Amino acid sequence: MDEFGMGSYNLFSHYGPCINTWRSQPHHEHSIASNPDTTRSVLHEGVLGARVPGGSSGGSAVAVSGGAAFAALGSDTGGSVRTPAAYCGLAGLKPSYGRLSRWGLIAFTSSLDTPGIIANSVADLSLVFRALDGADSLDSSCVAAVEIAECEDHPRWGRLVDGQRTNGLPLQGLRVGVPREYRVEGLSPSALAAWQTAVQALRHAGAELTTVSLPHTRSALSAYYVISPAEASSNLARFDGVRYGQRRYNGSAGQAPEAPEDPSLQAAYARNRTRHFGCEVQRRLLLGTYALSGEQIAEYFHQAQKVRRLVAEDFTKAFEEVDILLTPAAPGPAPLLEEALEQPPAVTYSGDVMTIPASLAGLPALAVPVGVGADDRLPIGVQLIAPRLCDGRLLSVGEALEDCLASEAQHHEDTGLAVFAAR
Amino acid sequence: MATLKVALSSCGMKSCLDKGSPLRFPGSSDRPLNFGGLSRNSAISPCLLLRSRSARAIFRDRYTVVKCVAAETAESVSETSFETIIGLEVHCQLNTATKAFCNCTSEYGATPNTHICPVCMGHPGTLPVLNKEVVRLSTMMGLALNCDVARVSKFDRKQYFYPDLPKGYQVSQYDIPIAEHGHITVEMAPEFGGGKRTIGITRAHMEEDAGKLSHEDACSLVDYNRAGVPLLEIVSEPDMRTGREAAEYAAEIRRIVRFLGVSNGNMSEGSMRCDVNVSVRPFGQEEFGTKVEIKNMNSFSAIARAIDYEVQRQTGLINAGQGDEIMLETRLWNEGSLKTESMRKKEGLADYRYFPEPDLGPVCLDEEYVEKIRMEMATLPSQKRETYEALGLSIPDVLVLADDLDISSFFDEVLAAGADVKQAANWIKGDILGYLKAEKKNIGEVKLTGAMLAELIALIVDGTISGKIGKELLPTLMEEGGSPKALVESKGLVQISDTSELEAIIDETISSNPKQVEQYLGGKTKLKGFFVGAVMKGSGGRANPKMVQDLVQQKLDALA
Ligand SMILES: [Zn+2]
Repeated sequence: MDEFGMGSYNLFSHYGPCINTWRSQPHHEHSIASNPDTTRSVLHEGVLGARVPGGSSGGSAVAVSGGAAFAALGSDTGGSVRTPAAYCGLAGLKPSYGRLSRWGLIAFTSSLDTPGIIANSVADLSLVFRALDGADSLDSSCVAAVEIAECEDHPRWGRLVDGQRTNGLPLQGLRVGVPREYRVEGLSPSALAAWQTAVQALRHAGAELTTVSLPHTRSALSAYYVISPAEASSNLARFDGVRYGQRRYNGSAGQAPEAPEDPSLQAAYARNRTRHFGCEVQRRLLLGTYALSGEQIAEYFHQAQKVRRLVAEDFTKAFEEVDILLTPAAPGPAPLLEEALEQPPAVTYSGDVMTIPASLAGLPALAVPVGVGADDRLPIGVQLIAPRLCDGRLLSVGEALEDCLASEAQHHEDTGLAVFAAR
Repeated sequence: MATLKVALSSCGMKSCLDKGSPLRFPGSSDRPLNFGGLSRNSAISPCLLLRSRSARAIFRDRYTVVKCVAAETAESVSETSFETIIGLEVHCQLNTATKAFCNCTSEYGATPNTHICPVCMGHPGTLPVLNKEVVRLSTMMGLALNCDVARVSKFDRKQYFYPDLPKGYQVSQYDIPIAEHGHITVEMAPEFGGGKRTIGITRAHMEEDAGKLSHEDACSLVDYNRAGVPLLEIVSEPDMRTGREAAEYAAEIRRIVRFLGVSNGNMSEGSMRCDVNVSVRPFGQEEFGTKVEIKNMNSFSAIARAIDYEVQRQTGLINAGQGDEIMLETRLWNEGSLKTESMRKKEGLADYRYFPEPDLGPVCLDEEYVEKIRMEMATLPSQKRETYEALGLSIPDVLVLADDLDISSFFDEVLAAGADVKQAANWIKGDILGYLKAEKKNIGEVKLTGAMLAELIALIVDGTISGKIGKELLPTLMEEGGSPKALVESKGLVQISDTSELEAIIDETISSNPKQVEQYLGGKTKLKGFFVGAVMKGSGGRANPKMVQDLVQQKLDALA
């Protein structure tokens, strides 16, 4: 995974980039392959044309898609489980904040971090979720069992009862909202096709589809990229080389440490942290420290907290009208490794636009694989978002969607998508 | 305050208040979603952005008010016509069995780094869980300090890099502490001017302690046993004007924590630490002088001495035209040289980048919980003093008897066993405290109980023994315990009050001192005392002194 969970593509692992098991058809790549002087120097010939698995928990996704694991755990702070799932054609769950214990999860953004699950199908994923579910007295942000039961038994937002799934249409009466703000500029044709296919499938299953509005969606991204680095700057302060993290001496590795250049404590901290944190981590730590500093905190951190609450309110309002939301899981399929490497950070960050709002609101969100693009043959998925703590409902709707998609799996020439058959 | 209330209600915390919900701790049900300490049903208001700012503005306003009052009362213009402004920050280690956020014992004095665990060492992947006792003791202390106890408060992270801080931040409370806007009243001893002083309490907040650094020749060592131990930091208003007042304020805080069992208040073990802020300004000047922080005082008298020294140093510099040498800095009190020494300059205000602790939910207290603590609270030292004053005791007596919880409880026991107030007070103030001081013991370490002292006093009052015999018996009672009455009887110390028996001793005394008799009859009547003394001695101290007085007089008169 990306170092400390910071990354959208799994490029920033200590061990080097992680590679997606999916590749597009060779004919699709000639435009890039003909032009990449810079990337050639960086990348081994063998990885030319390789796709990123998405980050930060890209390794978990690759382990599942490569068949090495039935399911894998990841950590989802702003989409780190859902994005790799979407890029690798898998199901990925970010549970409600407070539903699965964070004990043992190395903190990145404490108020957003959730353990997540990646599996081949929503059905597989549900099995793992049920095993992990339950309050933990070691995590103060865990929600008590009674509160969860209240949500799960809610007549509208609770778990779908078996009868609902077997008698007649499986999702009869389910109100599904399609937020208009998620139709972003740059949404790829296959991502749009997957979204439309899922809408069709849900409609066929008896759901009522409605367009809804989440007006603060656009601001969510910038709020996230203030709050998340701010908390990270605090959480990673302990890696200072005194108790955690390595110490850097000016002697080379293995030699007895010589006297450091500047004996002061502050200089030692700076040396250790500069030497041992990766570039993306350093970038975010600086950003976060700035956002919390005396003169900036009101303009950045407090403002971002306000936006966060607005984003959460948008969802609360939307869930007065609908039971669940359907959005794309990512703006497009997995980018090429060389594309990703050359992307300026701001462009990379913008790829998280689909997953971040639900994270800010603490809502459960599920990436469901839909199919592969007819043109590039790369997997593409959609995302379901449920009200807070209604993870049971989310998973049962996800399973139903998966079933519906499989039952009508066929090549949609008109939509440019090959829908996955039963998995 | 109005602004802060608006801000609170607008961030959704008010809903928590209104519901009258039970004490809710992280992990319990019905708790607001933890979005950096704010509720999920937050109503959004622009006030949110100003929250910490408005809190600061309020502090500033309060500051101004204090300033005006100080200028008006002006009772402490020093002879150099400088006014001293003193404020204290007192850290009290809370009396909990375990640390604030983990299960390690908070016991003092163990081998370094033996009371540690992944949580208090800040290991990656660990999370804090708040110790309920920290909240109970802090709430109690908030009530004792006459503060508004926040029904909803929250924790924040105070961030700085230092090796004694395992996580790189300290969990503390920033803009919404558990207690604010209180005051305490201290009673100045007559020798320090007497009278009562009311000192404002700005706030009291919960936080965790850091580790302890010790510096050796080539390296520094850290003991993390103390890391995560719960503290209550009590910040006073800058209401004190003399070192004595500051020392008395600190002593009263210690009395309160000890009477309530909130902390052991032991300054030498560091379970109570006082930081003093001192500034001086020419009398009449409106702005405050540069504030200097003094640390490292291990006793109340050291606090007074350090302040007195610092005031002299600062006024001296100003008088010498070197006022600009007074710097915003931290100075350490050196008990050896009796001077303050610069430790570090404060370059601007430190930026601790506070933000709400996302790993802990808000601390919500309901009325029932707070009232229960109010009811359970032990008697405060100020209440004790009032009670004793009402019993007719003098202020010096009251200050001695209500100074220490054990002594005060002992005194109460003696009174409960029916002893006379004044006599009980005299016995404790005099012989008992004298004995304890000489033996370096406290009242809990001797065998004398309140009931025993009451019995002893009763034996004197009813004439069974003389006061002198009583005093002689005290060491035995302290060391061996037992019934004073039985002791008196077994030692045959019962007072002789039988007239014929006394007369026999008196006759004997008179006949064996013919020379003195002659002198007495010659007009030297003062010699009566000699006879009384001799009779007392002859009776082994057991003679009833009052009767001896009378009988000796009668016998001598009869000779004339
Ligand atoms: Zn511990």
